[in-house]
Formats: sequence, structure tokens, C-alpha cells
Amino acid sequence: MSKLILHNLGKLYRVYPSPRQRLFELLTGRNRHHDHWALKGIDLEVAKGEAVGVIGNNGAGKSTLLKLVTGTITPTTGRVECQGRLTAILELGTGFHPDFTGHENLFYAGALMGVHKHEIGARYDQIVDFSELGEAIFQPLKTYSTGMVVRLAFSLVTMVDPEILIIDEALAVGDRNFQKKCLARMIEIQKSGTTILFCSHSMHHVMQFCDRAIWLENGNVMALGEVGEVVDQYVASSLQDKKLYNESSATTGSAQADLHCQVTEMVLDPATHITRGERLSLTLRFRVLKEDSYVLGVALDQKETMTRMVAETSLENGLPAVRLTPGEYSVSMAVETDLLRAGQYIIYAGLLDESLLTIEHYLEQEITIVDSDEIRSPAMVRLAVEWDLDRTLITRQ
Amino acid sequence: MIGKILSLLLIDELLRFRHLLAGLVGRSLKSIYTGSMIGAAWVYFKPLIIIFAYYFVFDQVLSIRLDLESSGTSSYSLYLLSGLLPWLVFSDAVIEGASCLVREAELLKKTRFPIVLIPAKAVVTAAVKIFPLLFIIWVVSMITAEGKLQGVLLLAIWMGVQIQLTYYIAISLSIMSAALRDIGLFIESVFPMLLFFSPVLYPLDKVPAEFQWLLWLNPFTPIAEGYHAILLRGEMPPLVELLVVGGWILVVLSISHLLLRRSKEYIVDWL
Repeated sequence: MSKLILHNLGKLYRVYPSPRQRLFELLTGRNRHHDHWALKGIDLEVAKGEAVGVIGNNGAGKSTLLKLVTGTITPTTGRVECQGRLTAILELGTGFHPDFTGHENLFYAGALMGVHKHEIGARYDQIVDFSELGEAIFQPLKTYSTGMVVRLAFSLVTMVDPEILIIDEALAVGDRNFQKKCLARMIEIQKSGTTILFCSHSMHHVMQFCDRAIWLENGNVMALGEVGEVVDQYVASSLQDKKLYNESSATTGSAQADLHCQVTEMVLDPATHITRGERLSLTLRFRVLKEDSYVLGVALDQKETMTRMVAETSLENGLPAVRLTPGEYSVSMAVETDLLRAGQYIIYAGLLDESLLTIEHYLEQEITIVDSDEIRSPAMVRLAVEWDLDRTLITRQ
Repeated sequence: MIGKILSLLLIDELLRFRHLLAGLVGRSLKSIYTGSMIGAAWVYFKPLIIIFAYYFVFDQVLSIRLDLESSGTSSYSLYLLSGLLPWLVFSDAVIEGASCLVREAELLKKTRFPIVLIPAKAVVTAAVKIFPLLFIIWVVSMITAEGKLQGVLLLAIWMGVQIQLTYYIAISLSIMSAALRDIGLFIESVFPMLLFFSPVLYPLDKVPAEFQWLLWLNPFTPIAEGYHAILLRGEMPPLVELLVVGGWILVVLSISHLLLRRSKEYIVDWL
């Protein structure tokens, strides 16, 4: 049985040249706007107890989608079918009032969500316990830090037995401990059958927690499916957008005539898959067209965590930029992979200018690092550590 | 059938969400006095001061007397207060109501409930703050003037009529000011002037006949006249006044429906 169904959901915003035109249209009924589709044709079925992550860049329509599901905005097309109590944290807070204490706000916000005060009263201790606010619960909300507000909101929306829970970026503000606690709580209520729609910029949280993901871009669905696949696709596309270092400084797209140098070939050994701990050797052939000082650089992008590791000749060994005259060159380097986690990487290698501001030219290639012991860890880097475990008892309590 | 009528009058949702409405009203009353020592007493303190000040200045110090025949009372302060207290409800509710959607933007963006609850909150809050004091006026007028016992029922009904009219005005203005903020600010600065164009500070018959139509353009004029009839003369408001008030209610109710329909899907985006 499905708990939450979105049929062809779409949201059209009317964009007015000025608020005056808005009033004019309101009073006369004459058209003074142009249309902007913030979200178009979303079809989604979420089963009971399933968690679906919503990912995408800023302005992709994630918040609009969640607001439509929550019902705070009305859809232009399609409809939302949801059965059961729905609670949500949209952006910050859930309609708390700054002048009231946390205690009063629980009952007040509960009423807004349609939860009767007896029910809040029955769970009051649980909610306050979870929020870790202690005595601060009797202080006005305006004295709270953002983290405290989110803690209170999170406790409230998860403790009233929601059947559908909507969470928009709420975890981003809490501290590490609370994030962990929230995720644990979310997993717990998900297991008890709560359907969850979770929006986050942290691919890590989405991966950890969701079964499926939906990737939105400009109001359209780019991908919908198993969370790992969708996150991979999304990350790959955003890495492409970013290019090496950053978009504005990359000049590779410019006309050939402007090129000062050109990387002609990149050879990896091993070519596509490497076992963690093996040495990756890289050979780069390039042609210098204009005499100048150049810096060689290599960058490694970890796809899942979106982290980047770099090395440049100028930083590596204090070696300044190398003066190169026109001609063909070849350079080899070796990268140790002991510290890298298993996963997919994109390796970029190329030449930069002396100031490191402009990337003259580069090539990229994908490579997968496989780990023989198959430990999936969220860490970016595996430390090389020598353990020395002493089994003698030092103190006994 | 009844449901249809209630929905036509825009009060079906208020009844369905009455607990929330009560909570919202409670919250706005509470926000007046949270952190104060005497608490809820502050809500009634201000209007009580006004009542006392008017009584003291006009009746005791200046001893202003009105014509008993035409006004129903000879006490100016009684006459004044029987119109002024309803006016305070009216102006509080309309001014607050006009900007209420904008003010509660955060709430409306984050939770789902019918938007009419917000103007309703402004109106009910104003009524709860001041109407109880009107019963004091009724008691005083019973004792000193011509007031009759059954007048209390009429008074309650008339308050209901006023709340109804105010509610629709607040809905219309709040939607308009969500579209264009200037509406709310304009109302806030111009609306208090309407007091001078209503028979609150002076009896209607003191106005030269050729200017009286000007006062009838003010929706509060028939309301105030109604209170004068009920409180001071112990009579039903005259038929003309009932018709004018009914007309006003119909007009603003239709405007409310129109604006609600046109803004339904977009109003939250405007906030």
C-alpha cells in the first residue's frame, strides 16, 4: 500500500513586473503576469516506511516540492495523495512564535499541525528530553540559538507519531551529536512505518538514510531510482560543471589559437581499476606552444563525497614554475593510493600558469579504486596508522 | 444546506479549525502581556482607563449634557463610549487585519491552514479585548438611562453583526495588502480618520443635513447608530440601518469571495 502519491505535480509561479501589477490583476482580473514553472510533471509513489531523498542544486525545485507535499502552497497541476498525519520541518522552525517559551510553543505549534494538546501533553517529557533543552524550555524562543530551535522542532515533529515526515535541510544546523541522534531517530521511526521525504545537500546523509532518491534540476526530474545510482549521477554532473579548480579560471574551452600549451595524452597504469595500496603511475605528454613558466598539476576528485585532492609541482617540493620552450614534453608521476578510500574518482592532469590562477590545459580520466577488504566507510581518507594494542589492564574501577 | 451557507459566509473553516483559531487568539492576547506581572489584566487596563477618563472629563469636570430626546441619554460620556468602544474594535480589527497576512507570512509559509483564519484572528482578538467592557456600558445605561433588560440579547446580536462585517473587510484588505504592501500602510494611516466621519464623537443630528450623506458612506455609521439605539434607547436599530449594514456585508462578502478565488493559489507566494 502506498502512503504518498504525487500525480503529475506542477507548480506555476506568476511573475509580476511589480507588486502594483499584482494588485491590478487581483482587482480587475486582467492578465499582468508571465509564467514560471518552478516544478513540472512530478510523479512519485512513496511506499509506507520508505525514505526518499530529494537532491539537486539550489533553485532546482526541492523546497517547492516539499512545500507542495506539505500543503503550504497549492499545486497548479496534479495532486498530492497522502494518508495519515503529516509533519514537516521546512527551512527553520515549524511556525514557532519568538515571544513564547519553548514549552508554550510546543502546544501552539502542535495545534498548527493538528495535534491536540492532550497528545502533546502525553509526550511532553519525551519531546523535551530528546531536544536536550533542559531548563531552557521555559525561556522565550527568541533567546534560542538556531540549533536549539531546530532541536525543538525536530523533537516535536518526530515524537508525535507522524505517518509522513518531511524534512528540509534541518540537519544542516545542528551539531554533530545532534545530527547523529536525529538520523538514529529518523531510522527508528522509519522502521516503525513512517514514510519520509528528506531533502539535503549532504549526499552522505542522503546515502546513509534513504532508499531511493529523486534528483531535480530546473523543476524537472533528472533521475529517480535507487539512492546510490541517483547520487552518483548527480555528483558526476555537478563535477562536470565545476571542471578543474573552478569554472571561471578554466580556459580550456577557449579557441585553440589562444592555447599556450596542450596536453596530448594521459596514460594511467593501471588504466581503469586499481586496488587500494597499489601505486598509480601517470604519464602525461604535452606540447608547449608558447615559451612561458608552467606548473604541472594533478587533481583527484572523489565522486561520492565530492572531495578533491590536489598536487602541484610548485607546492610539492618548493620547485618554482618550470620555464619551458616550445616543443614536445613528457612527464611521469606516481600517486600512492594507501590513504584513499575505495570508490570512483576522476583524475585530472594538466598545466597551470605560474600564478596558479589559470588552467592552461588538462585531460581527465575516470578511475576506480577497489578495496580488497570491502569496508564501506563514509570517511574520505583512510589513515595509515600503526596500532600498538597493549592488553595489560591499567586501571580497574 | 447549512454547510453550504456557512461556506458562503466564509465561516465553515473557522468552525472546523476553531481550536486553532482559539489558540491563535490566545497567542496574540498573551503576547501583549507575556513577561508582565499582572498578566491578563493588562488586556483590559487600557480600555478601562479610557472609559474612566472620558467619564471623568466629560461628565464630572465639564458636565457636558446632551439632548435627552434625540440622543437617548443626557450623559455625553455614555453616548461617547457606547459608540467609541465598538469603534475601537472596528479600527483595531481592520488595521491589524489589513496587514495580518504579511505579518504572519512565516507561519503561512510553513504550515497549512486556511488563510481566512488569520484575518479572523485579528477580528476576534479585537472583539475579545474590548467587547466585554461594552457590557459595563450596558449595565450603566440600564441603571441611569432608558436601557431595558432584554437589550442584552440585542446587544450581543449587534456585536455579532459588527464582527461579521469587520471580518469580511479584514479578509478583503489583507489579500489586497498581500498583493501590494501599500494597502496595509495606507489603511493604517487613513483609517483612524473615519472616526470623525461617524456619529461617535457627536450625535448624527448635530451634523448639518446637507452633509449627513457623507457620514452614511462610512460603514461604521449604521453600526454606531445601532449601538446607540440598543444601549441608550433600548430599541431595535431602525430598518434603514439594518438594510444599510446588510448591504455593506453583502458587498464586502462578495469582494472577499472574489479576491479569495483569484488569489487562492498564489497568496502564499506573495508573502
